[in-house]
Amino acid sequence: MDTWLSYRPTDLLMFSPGSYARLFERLNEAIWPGHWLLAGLVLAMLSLAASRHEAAHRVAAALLAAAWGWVAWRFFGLYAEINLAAPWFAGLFVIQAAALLLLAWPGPGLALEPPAPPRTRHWLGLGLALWGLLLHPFAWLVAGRAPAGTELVAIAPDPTAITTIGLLLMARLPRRRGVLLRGLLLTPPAIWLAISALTWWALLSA
Amino acid sequence: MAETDLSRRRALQLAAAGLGGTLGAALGSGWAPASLGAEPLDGECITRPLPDGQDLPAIGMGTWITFNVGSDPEARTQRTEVLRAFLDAGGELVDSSPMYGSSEAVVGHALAEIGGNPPVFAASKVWTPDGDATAEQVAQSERRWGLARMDLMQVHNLVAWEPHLEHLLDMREQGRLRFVGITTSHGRRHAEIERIMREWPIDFVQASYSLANREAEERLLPLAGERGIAFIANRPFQGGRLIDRVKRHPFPDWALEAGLTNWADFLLKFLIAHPAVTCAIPATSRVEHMRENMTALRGPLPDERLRRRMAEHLRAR
Repeated sequence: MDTWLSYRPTDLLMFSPGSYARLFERLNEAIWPGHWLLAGLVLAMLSLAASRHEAAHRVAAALLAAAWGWVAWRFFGLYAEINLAAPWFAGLFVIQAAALLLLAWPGPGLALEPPAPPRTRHWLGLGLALWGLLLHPFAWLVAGRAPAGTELVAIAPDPTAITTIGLLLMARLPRRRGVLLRGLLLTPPAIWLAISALTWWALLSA
Repeated sequence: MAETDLSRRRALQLAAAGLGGTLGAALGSGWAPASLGAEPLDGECITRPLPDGQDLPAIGMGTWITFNVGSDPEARTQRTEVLRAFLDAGGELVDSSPMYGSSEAVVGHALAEIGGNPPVFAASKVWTPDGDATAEQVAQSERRWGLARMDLMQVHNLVAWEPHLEHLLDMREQGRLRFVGITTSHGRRHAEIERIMREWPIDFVQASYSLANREAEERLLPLAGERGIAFIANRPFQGGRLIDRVKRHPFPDWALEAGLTNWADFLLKFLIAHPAVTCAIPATSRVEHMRENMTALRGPLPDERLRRRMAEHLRAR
C-alpha cells in the first residue's frame, strides 16, 4: 500500500496527450456521417423531455440511457486499447445507462418542465446542458483541435456527463424520494468528471 | 537476441557500422539498415557484455507511453519508423511490458512491418498478481511481439515476485528464455531489490537511473557489478522532464570538445559510462529524437573526471 501511495497521478498515466486526442478523431471519423443521426436523436430527446406527455418523458430517459450505453461501448472500447482502466470506466457508464432505464421505467421518465418561478438549480442545469451540448465541442475547436477531434455529446464521455448533469438538475422528479433519486443519478456522471479532470491534470502536467 | 545467433548479430553490427546492408542481406536475414548510404554511421557501437558473454549495444529503447497507441494505423506507421531508426543506428534492446497497454502489440506490428528478422533483443515483463500465470504471460508477450522466444523476461515492479521468479528461472533452465530479471522504477523498494540480487540467480536488474536521480549508484550498481548482473537504466530522461529542462540551456563548449554532440548524448553517455551499467533505455515517439538518442551509442565515453563535471554542470542548472 505504501508503494502505491508513493505514485503520483502522472506516474500512472500510460498514454500521451496526442494518443488521447486521437481517440476522438478516430471515433468521429469512424461514425461519420452518423453524427447527423445522433444530432437528430439528441434533439428528439430534448423535445420529448420538454413535452407534456409522460410517455414522451419515458422515451427521453431511454434515449439518454442509450447515449450512455453507446459511449460505454464505442468510446471506451477504443479507449481500452491505451488505458487498462477503461473497462472499469465503461462499467460506470453502463451503470448510469441502467439507472436511466429505471428512470424511464418504472420511473417517471425525464421531464424538463420547469416550475414557475425557476430556481437556481434550474438555471445551473440549463447552463451545464448548454455547455455540454454546444460550448464544450466549440471550446475544443478554440483550443486548437481539428473539427474531427472535437468532443460531442453522445459520442464523447465528458460532454455526455456534463449534459446529463444539466438535464437532471432541470428535471422534475417525484416529490417523494426525488432528492435521493436525483443524487443517485448525478453520482456516476460526477465520478466520471472527477476521473476526467484527474486525467487532464496528469496529461497537462506530465 | 531473439532467435538469432552471435555470428549473425556481429555481422549485422558490422553492416550497421558502415560495411553495407548487403552483408546483412547476404547472410539471409533479409534485414538491412534502411538508412545506410543516406546517413553513414561512424565508429563502433558501444557494447556491454551480457551474463552469457555476448555483447549488447549500450543504448536500448523503452516503450512506456510512447508505443501505447492502440490500433491507430497512423500512429503505428510512425512508431514503426521510430523503431526502424533505432535498429538502423545499431540499437537492439527493446523493453516493454503488458502494463504498457498496447505497447507490446505495437512493437510486434512494427517488427512485422520492418520484416526480415531484425536483430532485436526482446525484453518484456511479467505483470500479474497471479503467481501461477507466469508462463501464460510469457506466451502472451511472444505472441504480441511475434517472436518464438523472448530474450529477457523481468518481474515488473516486484509484483508477486517470488512465484514469478521461480517459474521464470525454471523456464530459463528449460531454454525457453535467455535471461531473467526484476525491475523497479522511481527509486522504489531498493532494499528488496538488493536482497533479491544477493539471494536469487537473476541475470538482469532494471531501475531508474539518470543524471538527476543517482540513487542507484549507492547500492544497486556496485552490487550489480560485483555479482555480474546486467543493469538496465530506465527513465534516463526522467520521463522527458530532465531533457526538456536541460534543452532550455545552450550546450556547453567543453562538452563539445569532449566529443559529446547534443543533450541526449550528454545525459545518456553519463549513464553508460558507469562501469556497471549495461544499457540505458530512453523512450521517444519521434524519429528525430531517436536519432539524437542513438548518437550516444558511438564516440568517446566520459571518464570519471568528466562525469563529475557533467553532474556539477547539471546541478548548477
